[in-house]
Parts: sequence; structure tokens; C-alpha cells
Amino acid sequence: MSDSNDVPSREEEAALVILAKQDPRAFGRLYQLNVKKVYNYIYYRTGNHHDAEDLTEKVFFKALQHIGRYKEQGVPFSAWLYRIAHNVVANWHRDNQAGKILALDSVSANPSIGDNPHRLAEKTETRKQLLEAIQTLPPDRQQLLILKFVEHYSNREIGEVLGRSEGAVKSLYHRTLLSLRDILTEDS
Amino acid sequence: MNNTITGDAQGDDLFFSGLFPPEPKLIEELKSLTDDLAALLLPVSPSPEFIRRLGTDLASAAVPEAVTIGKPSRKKLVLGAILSGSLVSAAGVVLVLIMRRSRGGVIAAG
Repeated sequence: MSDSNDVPSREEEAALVILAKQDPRAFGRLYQLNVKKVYNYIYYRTGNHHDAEDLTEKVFFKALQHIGRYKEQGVPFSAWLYRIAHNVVANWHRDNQAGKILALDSVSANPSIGDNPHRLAEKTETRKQLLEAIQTLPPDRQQLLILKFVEHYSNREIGEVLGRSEGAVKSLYHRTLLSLRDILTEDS
Repeated sequence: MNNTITGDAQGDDLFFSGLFPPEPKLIEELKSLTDDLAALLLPVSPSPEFIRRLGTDLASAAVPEAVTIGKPSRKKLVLGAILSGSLVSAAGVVLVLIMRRSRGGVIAAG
């Protein structure tokens, strides 16, 4: 088994998808390449590892079930998985957690040199407020932030996942930052 | 990626965003916000046990159905038996009718 961090080229990935469509046993390699991305996305949308594991499992079983219907559209395979994950998380929010603000398992700030307990508590509080503010954003804006900061995707790559142009992503990002700033200003 | 505004990729986006001419206060606020986001939204790793287990489960689910053709279910066996029984019964009835007719034909002829 090769390292899941070996990122294949777009052509190699397309070949893997064709193989998996013909023989579902080849789906394993696509799973290895994408499981961390999907898990991260779901973790930051649900706020805890337990639900992230449950929903990640659902996403990959759905993907395996429907891989035969996957159509190559010149975007990364992960874009399709993110779409499935988006729907799975939306259903989960609708069914189980309506209106509930979720706390991440560990939102505590990492101490840095020179941090006293008071400063550390202040940083943790800031992160908590920021997380709560993020969770009030529409799902596409949350997804944009996760792809930009967790996955370090470029605007072009985010556009491929969200089905928007690079310029539209840039614009959405700035509106998102301004919304966050407004929410945090209102709260304080 | 460095630039003269914030020194990071997010700042680079701000530079091209049309927010300019910049208000220094706004730029400072957004820079501080992107720093906080970068500190909060860090990659997390699922447990290796979870990755391994799900990988195994998916591999099991991906085994083609052809492999299980040699093991028919009990339901299929029962249905098969009923169907076979029905066909044999029907054949028997037809056979009896043919025999009766042929006997009747012999008597009539005799």
C-alpha cells in the first residue's frame, strides 16, 4: 500500500476513478487519498470526532455505492466527495442538531512562549467566539474557510469544489471575512 | 506567498479584492482575523484505527456479488423447490390426462 500523501496528478486520479467504476475493489486507493480531507471537512462542520467518524463512513459508503454513476467533469474527485459530505452534514444538522452551536473537541489555544495563564485564557476565549461565529455562517462560506485554511487550497481549487469561478470565490471570501468581523464586533 | 500588505496568502487576496483604497484599521482587523482563523482551523487526523477499519469495511463491501453466487440463500432454495415441485405436479397431471385419453382411444377403437 502506498502512502496516502502521494498526491496523484489529475490524469492519474482520473485513471483511478475509471478503474474503480469498472471494479469497485479499486475504490480503496481513492479512499486512502481522500479520507483525511473528508474527515477534516466533517470535523469542522460537526465539531467532534465521534460524529466526524460516523459521517465520514457514510460519505465513503455512498461514494462506493454510486461510483458507477460518477461523471468526469474536469474537477478533482474530491469535489464529488465534498458534495456528498455537504449533503450528509446538512441532513445530520437537520435531523439531530437543529440550531445547536457545536463546540470543537479541543478549542483551547496552544500556549506559546511568554503566554501567562490570563493571556492563554483570553486566546482560548477568542477562538471559541470565532468558532461560534464561523458556525453561524452559511454552509458554503464555512466550506470555503475549511478549504482555504485547513486544506490550504488556492482560490482556483476552491472554485472547482464549490462550482464557482476564481473571482467569485475571492469575492465570497472577502464577504465572509467582513461578516465574521461584524459578528465578532456585535458579540463584543 | 509574501506581499507588502500582510505577508501571507490571505493578505494577498485582500490586496486584489477591491477593498482598496485601504482603510488601515480595516486591514489590521482583517489581518488579525485571518491570523486567528489560521490558528483555529488546523488539520486534524482521524485515528489510524478508524482509517484502517473503514478501509477494511469498504473493501468487504466492494467484493462483487458474483463471489456469492455459489451460496444461494435459504429463501432462494425454498422458492426453487416450490417451483420445481409445481412443474413436476403439472407434468404429472398432463401425463395422466394423456394416458387417460390414449386408453379411452384404445377402448373406443376396440
